[in-house]
Amino acid sequence: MIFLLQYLNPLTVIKGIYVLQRLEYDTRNYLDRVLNPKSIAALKQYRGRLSLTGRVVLSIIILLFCYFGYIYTILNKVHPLSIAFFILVAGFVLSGLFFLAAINFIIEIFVAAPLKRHKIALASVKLSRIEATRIAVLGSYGKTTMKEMLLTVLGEKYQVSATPGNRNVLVSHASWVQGVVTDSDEVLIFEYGEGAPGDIRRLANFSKPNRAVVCGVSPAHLDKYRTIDNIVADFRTISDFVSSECIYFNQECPELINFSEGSIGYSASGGGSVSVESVKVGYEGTTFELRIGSKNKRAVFTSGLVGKHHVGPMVAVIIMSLDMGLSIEEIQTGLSKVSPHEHRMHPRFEHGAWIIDDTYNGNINGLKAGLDLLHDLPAKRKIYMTPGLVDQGDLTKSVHTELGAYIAQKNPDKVVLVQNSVTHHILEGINNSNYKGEVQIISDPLMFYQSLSLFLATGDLLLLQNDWPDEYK
Amino acid sequence: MKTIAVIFGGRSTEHDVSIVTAISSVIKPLESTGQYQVEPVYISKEGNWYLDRKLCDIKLYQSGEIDDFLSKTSKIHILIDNGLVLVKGSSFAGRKQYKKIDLVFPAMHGTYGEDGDLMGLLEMANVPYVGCGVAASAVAMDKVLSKQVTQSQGIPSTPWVWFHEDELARSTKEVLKRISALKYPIFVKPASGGSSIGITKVKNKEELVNALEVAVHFDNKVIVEQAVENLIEVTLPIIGNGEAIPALLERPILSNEDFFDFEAKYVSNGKGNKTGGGKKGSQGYSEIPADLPKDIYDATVEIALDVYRAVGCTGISRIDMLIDSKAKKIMFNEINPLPGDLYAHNWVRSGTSKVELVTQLVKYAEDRWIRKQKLQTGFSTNYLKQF
Repeated sequence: MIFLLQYLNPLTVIKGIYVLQRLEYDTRNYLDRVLNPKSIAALKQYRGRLSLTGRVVLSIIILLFCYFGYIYTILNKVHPLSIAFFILVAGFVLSGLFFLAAINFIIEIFVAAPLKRHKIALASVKLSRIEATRIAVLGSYGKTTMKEMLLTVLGEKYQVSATPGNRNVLVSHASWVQGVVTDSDEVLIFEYGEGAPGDIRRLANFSKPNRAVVCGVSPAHLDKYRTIDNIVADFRTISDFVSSECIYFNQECPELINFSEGSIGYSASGGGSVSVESVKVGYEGTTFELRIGSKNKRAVFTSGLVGKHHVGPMVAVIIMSLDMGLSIEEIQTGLSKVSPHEHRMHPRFEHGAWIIDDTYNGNINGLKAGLDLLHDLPAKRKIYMTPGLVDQGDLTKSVHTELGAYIAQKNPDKVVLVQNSVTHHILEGINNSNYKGEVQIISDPLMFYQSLSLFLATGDLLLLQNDWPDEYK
Repeated sequence: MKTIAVIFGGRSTEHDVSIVTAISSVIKPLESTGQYQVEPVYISKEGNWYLDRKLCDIKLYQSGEIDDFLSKTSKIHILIDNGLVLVKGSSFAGRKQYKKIDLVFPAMHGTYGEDGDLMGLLEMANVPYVGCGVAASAVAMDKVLSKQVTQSQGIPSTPWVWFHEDELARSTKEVLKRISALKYPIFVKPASGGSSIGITKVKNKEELVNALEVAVHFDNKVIVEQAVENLIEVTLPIIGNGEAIPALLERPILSNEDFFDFEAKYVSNGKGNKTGGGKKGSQGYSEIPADLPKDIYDATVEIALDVYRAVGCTGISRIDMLIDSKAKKIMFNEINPLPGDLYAHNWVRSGTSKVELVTQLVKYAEDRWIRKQKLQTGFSTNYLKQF
């Protein structure tokens, strides 16, 4: 009953606007959340703040107009239905949550979508004039790291520009082209964000890539794709735009084996004309030796990225850079400048302990790579924290029990889980694997992050993986 | 969820130290676990008890607004009713708020808190509490008693004498004669002081009388100790009930002319910190672990553990030791039954986080209380029938 009262609380609409913004104004997703009263009641704004964009302001104005219009109507005309029904309807109206969905839908159809199309059209015209190598970076994971590595390494020889942050949807690409890209750019790197079938083709139609890197596939956005095969099929559409010998794919990912005939596979063992030897991983970064070409030339590469799982992507960067004419020295210099991106396997030394912030990691392969790293690095005590993964669709249970089993296998001293809808699956995986360490379940991850100095001791290694957005429970 | 009352402040020269201990080393870590309802109970310098969430804010004390705040806040009363209940009145309708306490975490240093007085009250209320019991607290806080107990167990300490304040007044010459058996420099200390308050290092006879007057200002029992030559001062935090678990032996970095006084402990910017990451004020001055030859290090730890057990400490304590580095002689100095800040920085260095420290101390308190419930305290006799 208390949950249902959320719908009668006029202030709930403020949470609703925040949720809508977090879901990037997707009306359908928003309605899924709103129709679950527990989801609304439990929502706390603790990761972000409502950004007063033009769309939000327009929504609020229309909402207020509707409120006053409804109140005016009621005051002037007595409703013929019973008082109880009147209060209920008034409640739904007053809470504004469903009004907001309708307003958002109308704004999307008549305002936002036309504006987006216009923006994309303008950006397409500008892009058609620019003669630059265009590299598409796709994958369920590892895209941003790959993009940043290419940006840094290729930047040793070329003027390079890349889509910013993790803004990887079409309208973001258009904004970036309009606002940042110049005629003097020699290489443009586009990070492709796949969210639904057809996204890769739409993005490729706009950016017209001539090189592509496929970083890997994992269960992500299965609410739209339904199966991993559908994700792979979407990725394969890049072959309609990029010739095979310019596609580099992660051959450690079983789903990508033989991605397309003639495409170049890469892995932690090597790829193309290079093979990897003697990998060393420490808190300061990763170093490995490479044998290059048929003459077995050797070179040592070092980067600030931490973890063996970065070796494969670094190999991809190296072979693409060699193909694009960079010298080994230029590549070495570029890679040495690569440092961890914030919230992506980012090690920090605080309170006498090492903390690896991997809170932007949102896929099972990434979590496993992190657990491998936790296992390999030396520490007095190892602590692993995760809330689990979102958007796993029908695979939610299997992915999380698999995660629990992997955690048990890597055997950290302590596991900290965040109480939510997948915790029991992770616990099932942990318990079924006879894990002997300590498990702690917390309800407030923000409090945990803010109080790390209280939970850590000298010599500890803490790995934080993934962080659920506010709108997920 | 268990309700834990953290009691701090009090009528003590270490009142301010207690506030920091309570807020940063006890209340915050306990609340961070999410397992306890933590109630801050503040005892003012006048001895009045208060209960309010705002008492967790250190700014209230730093800004000096505490007195104004207390003048507007109701005092609380204690009800012993099959446990401890805190009663807070309201200015409205005479209503009272009753808060049942499941466990007490004393965070008071010095008199009326660390010396066993508070523990006595908690024993009468039959509520579990963290730290040393009544007897261990009383012995530990009294430097004379602690030396008498440890000496009886064959634990060495530097030569010392003691006297009561009225003895000094009655037969000053006799007292001075006893002191003259010691070699200068000597330390004159209030027997039950803490945080090195009231202690004077005396280099010659001319300085002695003034030092004695300072000491009796703080306590009516005084101890005078001979200084150790070639001194290395170390301290060891220990936790545990039956089994004593040491942290790391810690050595303050001081010049030969200084001693580990209040200033050095809590206020100084530090005189070098080989551990790295030193901070201003409290605990920014130590070598952890102390850089000593292994045999000396191990022997010092063993003696400190012996002291802990001899005095009957439980929960947590900190043992201060003196080492004559030339003669390789290790001597007991004093015990702190409730170390300032719980000496959490040392525990963190040894691999125990602040959260783990307080949750373990809560567990020790509960274990001790459970064992005590099994003791027989009643005994049937015909004694009354005689009357």
